[in-house]
Amino acid sequence: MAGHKIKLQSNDGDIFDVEVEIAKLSITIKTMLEDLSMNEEEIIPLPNINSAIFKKVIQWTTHHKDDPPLPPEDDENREKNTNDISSWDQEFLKVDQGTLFELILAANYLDIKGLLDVTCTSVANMIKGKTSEEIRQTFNIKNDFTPQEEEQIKKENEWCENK
Amino acid sequence: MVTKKKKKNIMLLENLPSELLLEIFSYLHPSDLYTSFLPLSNSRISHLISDIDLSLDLTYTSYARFLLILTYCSPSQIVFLRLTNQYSHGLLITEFFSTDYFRPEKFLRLRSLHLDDIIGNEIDCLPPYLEKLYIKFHKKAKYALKFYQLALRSTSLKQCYLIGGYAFDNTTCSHISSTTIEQLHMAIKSFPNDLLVLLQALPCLTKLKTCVYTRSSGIQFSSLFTSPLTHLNIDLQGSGVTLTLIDSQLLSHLPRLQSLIYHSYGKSNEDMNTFIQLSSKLSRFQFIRKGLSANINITHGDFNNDLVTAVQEITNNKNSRRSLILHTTPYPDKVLNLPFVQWNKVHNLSVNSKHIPDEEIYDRVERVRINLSEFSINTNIPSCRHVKHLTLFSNNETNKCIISPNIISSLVCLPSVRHLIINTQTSLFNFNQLFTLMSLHSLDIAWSQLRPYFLLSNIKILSLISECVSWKEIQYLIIHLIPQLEHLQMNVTTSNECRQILNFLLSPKYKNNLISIKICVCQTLSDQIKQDLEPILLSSQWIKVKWRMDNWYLYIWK
Repeated sequence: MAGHKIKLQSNDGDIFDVEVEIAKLSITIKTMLEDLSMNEEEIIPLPNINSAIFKKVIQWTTHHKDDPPLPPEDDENREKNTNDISSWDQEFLKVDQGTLFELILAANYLDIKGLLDVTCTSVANMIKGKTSEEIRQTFNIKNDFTPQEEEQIKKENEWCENK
Repeated sequence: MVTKKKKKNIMLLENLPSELLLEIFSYLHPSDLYTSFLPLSNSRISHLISDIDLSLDLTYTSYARFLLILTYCSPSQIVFLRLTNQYSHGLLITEFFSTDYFRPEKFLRLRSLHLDDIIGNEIDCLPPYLEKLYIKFHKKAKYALKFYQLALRSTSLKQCYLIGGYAFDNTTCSHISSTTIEQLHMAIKSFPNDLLVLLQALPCLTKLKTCVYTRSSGIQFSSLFTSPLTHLNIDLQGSGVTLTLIDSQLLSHLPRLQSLIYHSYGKSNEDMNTFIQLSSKLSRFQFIRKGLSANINITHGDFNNDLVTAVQEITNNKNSRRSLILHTTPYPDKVLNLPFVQWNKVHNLSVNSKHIPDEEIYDRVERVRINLSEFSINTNIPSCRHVKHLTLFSNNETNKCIISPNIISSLVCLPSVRHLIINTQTSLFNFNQLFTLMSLHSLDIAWSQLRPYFLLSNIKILSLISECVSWKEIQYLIIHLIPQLEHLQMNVTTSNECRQILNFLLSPKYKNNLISIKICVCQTLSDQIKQDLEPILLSSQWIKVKWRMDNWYLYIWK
C-alpha cells in the first residue's frame, strides 16, 4: 500500500515516519513487520542506529526504492566487482570515514544488501592502489607486533622466498 | 576536552567486527590483501587474512601478481579456484601446480575448481572435498581421458562440466562409478550404449547435457533399469539417431524426465511431429532444429496446453540461414537471439501452471545477439537487465543498418554489459552512442571500425578481429585510446612488424598496463618469426616475460 507509514525509533530517541515499502528494503524491518505482526501505531526501536546515520539510510533507501532486484549472487566466487558505483551513490558516500563505517554497521544490522555492497565497495576502492604505509595513515591502523614477533614472522616467511 | 571526547567517538576500520572486515576484504583480490595489509604488522588483520576463505580467480592475472599468490597463499584457504590458460597458453596452470605445496590433496576447503583451456597433465587427483568441477580442454589437450576418469569416479563431486578433449566411451573410460554426481555436462561417443552405461554408473544424476556422435548397438539393458534423470539436453550431431529411437530406447528408462532440449539436424518434419507428441509428457521442452523453414505450420492445438509455447526464428550472420526454435517458458534462457521473427505464446492458466512474469524471465538472460540489419525486431519485450555479453552483427550481403542504438538500449540494459563483440562492417551505426552508455570490460572490433573519439578508456581486453595493424597504430591505441588495456590480441603480417610492435609493448621505456599479448602470426610466418624473435625474447632486451609460441600464435604473459 503506497504511502502507508510506520514509526521507527533511533537509539537516541528520534522517531521517523517511513513509508512501509521503503522500510521493507531492510530485511530486518521486513521480518519484524511480518513475523511480529506489529500494528502501524507501534514504534519499532532500532537500538543499534543513531538518528544521523538512520537519516542517511532513509535517504539511500528512498533513492533506491525502485531499483531492480539484485542479480543472484555467485555464492562460490566471492570476488566482487568494485567499478560499479553510480554517480548518485558516489556523491552520497562523500562522508567522513567514521560515518562510512557506521553506515556499513547499519546496513549490516538492517540487512540492506545494496547499501552494504556499495559501502564496502567504497572502502575497498579506498584501499586499492595504496601502499601499506598509505593504508596505515588513511585508516590509522596500528602496528601491534613486538619486535620479536616481527622477527618471527620474517623467519616464517623465509621459505616463501625459495618457492 | 571536547575535542578529545569527539575523537574517541570516531569509528575506525579496526573497530568493525571481524565479520564486516572479512566482507570488505572479499571485495579485494587476495594479492591486494597481501601487499596492502600484511606489512602493517597488525595482529588481528594478519590473523584474519591468514585464515580467510579465499576465492581465487586468476583469469586476468599478471605474472608478478601470480608469483605473489604463490608466495603467500595457503592452499587450505582456497574455497573457489579459477585458473585459465587463455592468456598464457598453458603456462599458468602448469606453474600453479608445479610445486609440492600446491598438490591437489592440500586444498582441503576447495569446493569449486575451474580449469580453463587446460593442455597438460598437471594434476593426478582431485581435491578431497570438491563439489563442482569445470574443465574446458584446450584443443591440443592430451590427457583429457584421465580427467574424465577422475571425475566420473569421484566420491564428492555434485556438478561436473567436462568440455571438449574427449567423448565418453565405456571401453576406454571403464570402471566409472559415482553416487554423488547430480549434474553432468560432457560429450558421449555413442547412443544408446555409452549413454546407458553412464546413466547406470551415476545413479544420482538428475541433469545431463550432452552431444552424441555415433549410433551403437550390442549391449542389452534390462527394461527394469531406470534413471532419476529429470533434465536432458541432447545434441545428436550427425549421429543418425532419430527422436523415435530416443523415445523407444531411452525415454522408457527415464520415468522422471520433465525437461527435454533436443537438437536435431534432420531434414524431414517427422522429428518435430514426434516431438510435439512427446511434449504432452514433459513439463518443459525445447526443440532446436537448424535450417527449418519459418513457414512451417505449427498450430497451437498441437502442443500440450499446460505449456507456454514460444516460436522463435533466428538468422545466422554468416550465411543468413534461418533456424526455427520452439520453446516453452520459462524462456528465454541465458542466451537470447534478437530479433524474433515470430513470437507466439499459448498458455493455459487454468491448470496448475505457475505463470512467471516476463520481467523475471528476461532477467535470466546473460548474452544477447542482435542482427542490426533485421527489420522485424520486437521492441515490446521487457528489457534484459542483467546482460553481460552483447554481440552485434549484420548480414554479410547488406550494409543496411536498421536497428539504432536507441532500440538496442530499449532491449538491453546497457550499463550492465561488460563484453561487446562488433562483427559488422557497417559504417551507419553510431557505436560511440552505445559506448557512452556502457562500462565495457572487453571489446572485439575490427581496427577499421575504431574511431579516435570513441570512449574506450576503461577497456581491459581488446581483440582486433582479423585485421593487421602496424606498431604505430598500436602505439596510438595504447597511449591515447585505451590506456588501461591489459590484454591485447591482434594479427601481424611480417616478422619485422611483430618485432616493432613488441619493441614498443615490452620495452621498459613505454609504460603500459598490459598483462598478456596474443599475436596471430599465421602458420606460414611462424618459423620466420620464431627464428627472429626467440633470441630477443630470451635475452634481457625486453622486460622479463613468460612466452610460448605455436604454429599460429605468439603468447606473451607479462
